[in-house]
Amino acid sequence: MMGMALTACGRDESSGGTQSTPGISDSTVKIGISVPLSGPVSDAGTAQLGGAKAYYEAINAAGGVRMRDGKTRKIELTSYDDGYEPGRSAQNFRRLVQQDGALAVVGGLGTAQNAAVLPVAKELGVPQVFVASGASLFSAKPADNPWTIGWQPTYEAEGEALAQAAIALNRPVTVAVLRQNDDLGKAFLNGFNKGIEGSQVKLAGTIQTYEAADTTVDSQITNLAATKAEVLLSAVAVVRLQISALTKARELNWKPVVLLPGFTQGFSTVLKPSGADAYFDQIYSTGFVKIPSDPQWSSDQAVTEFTGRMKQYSPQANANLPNAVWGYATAATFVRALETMDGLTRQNLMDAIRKLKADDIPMLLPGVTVDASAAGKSPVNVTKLFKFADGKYSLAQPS
Amino acid sequence: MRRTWYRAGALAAGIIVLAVLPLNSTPYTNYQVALVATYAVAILGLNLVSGYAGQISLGQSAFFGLGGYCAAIATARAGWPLPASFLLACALPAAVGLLIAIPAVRLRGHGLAIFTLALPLIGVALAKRFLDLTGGSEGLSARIARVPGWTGLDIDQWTYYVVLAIAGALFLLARNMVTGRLGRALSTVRENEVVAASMGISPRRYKALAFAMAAAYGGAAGWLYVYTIGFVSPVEMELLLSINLLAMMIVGGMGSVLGSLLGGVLYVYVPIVAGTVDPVRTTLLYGAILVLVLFLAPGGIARALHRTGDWLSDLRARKGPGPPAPGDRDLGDDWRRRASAPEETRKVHGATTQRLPRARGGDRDDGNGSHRLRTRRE
Amino acid sequence: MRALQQVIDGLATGSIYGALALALVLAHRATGVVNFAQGQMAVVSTFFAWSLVQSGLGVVLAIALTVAASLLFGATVERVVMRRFERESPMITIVATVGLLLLLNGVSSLIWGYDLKAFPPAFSSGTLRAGEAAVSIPALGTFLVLVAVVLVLYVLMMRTRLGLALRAVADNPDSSALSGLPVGRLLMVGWGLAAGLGAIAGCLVAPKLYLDPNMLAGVLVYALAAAVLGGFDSPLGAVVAAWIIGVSENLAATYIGVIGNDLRISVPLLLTVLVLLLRPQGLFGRREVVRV
Repeated sequence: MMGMALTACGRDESSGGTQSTPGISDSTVKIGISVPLSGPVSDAGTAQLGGAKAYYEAINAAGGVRMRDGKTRKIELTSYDDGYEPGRSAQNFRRLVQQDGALAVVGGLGTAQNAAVLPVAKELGVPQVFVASGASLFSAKPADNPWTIGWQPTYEAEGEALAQAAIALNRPVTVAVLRQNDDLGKAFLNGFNKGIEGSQVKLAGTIQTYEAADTTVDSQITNLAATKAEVLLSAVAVVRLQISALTKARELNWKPVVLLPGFTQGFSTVLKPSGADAYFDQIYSTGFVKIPSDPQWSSDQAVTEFTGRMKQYSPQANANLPNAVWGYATAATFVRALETMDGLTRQNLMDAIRKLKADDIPMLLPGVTVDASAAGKSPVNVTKLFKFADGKYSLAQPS
Repeated sequence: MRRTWYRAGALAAGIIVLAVLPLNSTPYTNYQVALVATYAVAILGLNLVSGYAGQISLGQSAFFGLGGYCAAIATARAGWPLPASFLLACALPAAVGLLIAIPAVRLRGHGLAIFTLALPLIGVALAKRFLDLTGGSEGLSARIARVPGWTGLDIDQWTYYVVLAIAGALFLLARNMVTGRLGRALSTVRENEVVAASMGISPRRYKALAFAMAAAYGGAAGWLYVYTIGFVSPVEMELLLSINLLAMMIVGGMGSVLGSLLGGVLYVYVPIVAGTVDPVRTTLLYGAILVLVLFLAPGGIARALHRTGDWLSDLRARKGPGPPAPGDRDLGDDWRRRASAPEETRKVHGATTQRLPRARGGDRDDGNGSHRLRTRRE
Repeated sequence: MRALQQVIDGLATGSIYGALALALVLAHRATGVVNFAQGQMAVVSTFFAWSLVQSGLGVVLAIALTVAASLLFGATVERVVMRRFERESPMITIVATVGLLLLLNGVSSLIWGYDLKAFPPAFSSGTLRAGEAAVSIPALGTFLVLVAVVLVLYVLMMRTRLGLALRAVADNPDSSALSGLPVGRLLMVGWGLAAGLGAIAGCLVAPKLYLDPNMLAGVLVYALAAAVLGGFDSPLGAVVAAWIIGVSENLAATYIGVIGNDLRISVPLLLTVLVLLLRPQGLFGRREVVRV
C-alpha cells in the first residue's frame, strides 16, 4: 500500500531528544503550555504563563533541575496562544508534541479547552499534567485518563469548604444561592450541598443563575433578597458581577452572611469597590495559595521570592492575579516531579507524578500539601476557610 | 481561451499537491489543513447569504455549533452512522434557518442583522441549558472518525482526505448553484428587489432560501469540525466566531468562491502569525487587516487576484490593459457595481460625489437596468 | 415588593441600554449607518476620561473634556474611515464598522489592558428607599440624564438650523448639496455628536460596570435591539424601547420559568421581532416609502 510506505517518512516526532526519551536531551527538558494570550481572558492566560516562566527561569539561572540520573538539565518552555478556543488548544497540543517534541504539556488553562486536549493526550500517550482548572474530570478517573491530571482543588471541594461556614453558625439557616449557569456553578453547588448534608442548613427556594456575559445581576439579587435568607452563597466567578451582586444586596438593605469563592474574594478588587467590607458583618471565603498582596505575607520568603522573580522574568504579566500564583506553583510541582523521576520516558514522568507528595511547594498555604497519590482527587485538594475581618482575611476556625 | 487552460492547470496542480501532502506531513499539519477546509465551508455558506444575497448575517456560528452538536450527539452518543449524522448536521440547521428566515426576511436590513446577532447568544445559552445532552460548558468529546483498514492510512490522513473531499464537493455544489439560475436570481434580488419581484422572483423566498443554505453549509462545517477535532463545546457557537467569519469572508473576497477558501486560510493562520509576533495583538490584527482590505481592495483578496489575472492576460493579449472580456467576469463582480441600494430606504450618507453609476471598463448595465430610487419619508 | 423592585431595576438597566442606543440612533439619523462600533468608541472615550481622572482631574471636568474630545474623535472617524465606504453597499458599511470595532478593541486592550478599572461616579453614591423598594442614586441620575439628553436632542434636531441641516442631509443628500449645504461637514458633525453621546453613556455606566475593553460588548446587543424596536430614527423611541426591554427581561426572567436567567436575551429579541412584524417602522419610527 502506497499509504503505508509513505506514512513513515517525515512524520516522526521531531527533535528534542531521542526516539525513546522524547523531550529530554542531555542538557535540556522541553515542555509546552497552551494558554489564552489573546482575547478577553488574555490577562489570566498571560499571568499563568508568566508565573510558570518565572519559576522555570529562576531554576535555570541556578543551574537547572537535578534529576536522578545525575544530570542537571535546563527547562525549555514553549508556549502557544489558544485564544481560549478548545479546537486550538487541541491543535496546540499536537504541535507542541509533534513539531516541538515536548516531553509534556504542563499547566494549561481552561476547562473546555483542556477537555478537548484530554483525548489527544490519551491518543498520543503524552502527559497533560497539572491542568489549571477546578473541574474534577481531569483527576477523577486515572484509569481512564492515564496521561492527564489536574492540580488545584476542585469546585466541589471549594463548595464543600464554604458549607462549613454555614454549618458553623450552629442554627437552622436558609441559604440563597447565585451561581454561574454552567458546570462550574453546578459543581460548586454540588459540593456545597454535600457539605451541608444532614445539617441544619437548607437551601432557599429558588436558585438564581447568571451568564458570564451578563451586564448586571441586580435582578437575581432582588429575587434572592426577597427570600430573606440569612446566608448568601454568591458563587460568582466574574469580578464585575460579584461587585454588582454585593452592591445590590447592600442597596436592598439585605445583610446575609456572605460566602464567596476564591476567585472573587479580593479586598481591593471586590470588597472595597462594592462597599462590602464596611457593610456585611460576616464574609467567608476559601483559599489554598498565599495572596501576594496580602500584608501578612509581606516578609514571607516564598512570597518575596515570587514577587521578585515575576518582576524579573515576567514583567508584563499581572502578578496580582491568582493565575500567576497558580502558574508558579504548578511549575514548582512539575519540577519536583522531574526531580523524582526514575528514568527519562514519558511513562516514567507519569509514574513519578502519580506518586508525588510534597509539603514545601512555594506559595501554597501552610498546611496545604501536594498529594497526587490520592486516587481520583486533585493533587492539591485541601482548601482552607477564611473569614474577613478588620480589613483582611484570616483563617477561620470552624467550631 | 488561454485563461481557461491556465486555470485548469492551476487547479490540477493544486489537487495533486493536496492529494500528496498528508502522506508526508505531521498529523498536526494535516489537521490544520482540514480545519482550513472546515472554516472555508462555513465562510462559503456565509457568502451565499451575505455575499450573493446581500443579507448580513451574524449568526453563522450558531449553525456551525449546531452542526457540530449534531455530529457529536448523533454519532458519538446515539451511534448513528456517519452519513446519517452528516445529513442531520446539514438538515437541522437548514430547518432552523428556514424557520428563522421566514419572519426575519420581512424585517428591514437592520432588523435582520440584529436578529442574527442574537442567534449565537441564544445558541450558547441553550447548549449550556441542555447539558445532559450537550455536556454543558465542559463540552462533548466525540472522536467519530474511523479509518477503514484497507486504506493503510493513519487516522489523521484519512480525516484529511474525508474532510477535503466533502469540502470539495460542497464547493463544487455551491459553484454550480451560483453560476446558474439560483445565482442570477439572488443577484437580481440583491441589486433591486422591486425589479426582481416584477420579474417573478420573490425576494422573500430567495432570501429565506439563501439563509437556509447558509445555515446548511454552516452545519456541514460544524460536522467537519467535530470530525477533525473530535470535540464540541458552546465556545464553537460564540458571537466572536461569527464576527471573525464575516471579517475573513470580506478579506478573502465577498461573493467569491475562491474568496471563501482564502477566508478559511486566513481564519486559521492569522492568529498563528499574530502569535509569533505578539499574541495580545491578535484582535487588533484582525481589525486592521479587515479595515485595510476594505480600503484598498473592497472586493477582497480574491478580487485583487482576479484583477491581476485579468490585467496579466490582457497585457499578453493586447499589450495593454483593457476592459475585461465578458466571459471572464466573476459573478461576484456584481455587488461592486451597484449604484444604490434598493431594499431599505437607504439613508444615503454623503453626496460628496455624484451618485451616478461609475463608468469603468464598459458593461455597467446588469441587464435589469439599475434604477435610481427616490425615497421620501412620509 | 419584589415586582416593583424588578421594574425599578429594569428601568435602571434599561437606562444603560438606552444611553448607548441613543448614540446609535444619532449616528444613524445623521449618516444612515448602523455603527456596530458605537459601543467600542464609547469605551475608548471612557478610557480617555479615566486617564484624565488618573492624572488628577475631577470627574465632571474630565467627562466634559472627554465629550469635547469625542466630538473630534467621531468627526475624524467619519472623515477618515467611513467616508470611504459611503458609496458602497450597506453591508460593506456595516462590515467596516465591525472592522472598526475589532480595531478599537485591540487598541484599547493594548493601551489600557484587560484588567477592570474603577471609574469614579459623577453622582454621589447612596440609596433612596421607599418602603421595600430601593433605587441607587447613580441609577436615578443616569435615568434623569438620559431624559435630559433626549429633550436636548429633540430641541437640537427639530428646532435648530443645525438639526434641520442634519436631517436634510440624511434624507436627501443630493438636494442638500444642490441647496448649498456642506454635506461632508454635516456628516462629520453627526458622527461627532454620536461619539459625544457615546462618551456620556460610557462615563455614566462605567462606575457600575467597571471599565475594560469589553465593558459594553454585552450592552451593544440590547442597545441595537432597543434602537430597532424604537424605530431607529427616534431618540425618544430608542430610550423608551430600552426601558421596556430592561423591565420585560427582568419580569420574564423572574416569572416565566422556561426563560429563566440564561435565556433573558431572547426577550428583547422576541419583542423586537413581534413589534416589527406588526409595525415595521418600529414603535416610534415613521413609515418609509420607496418609490421606483
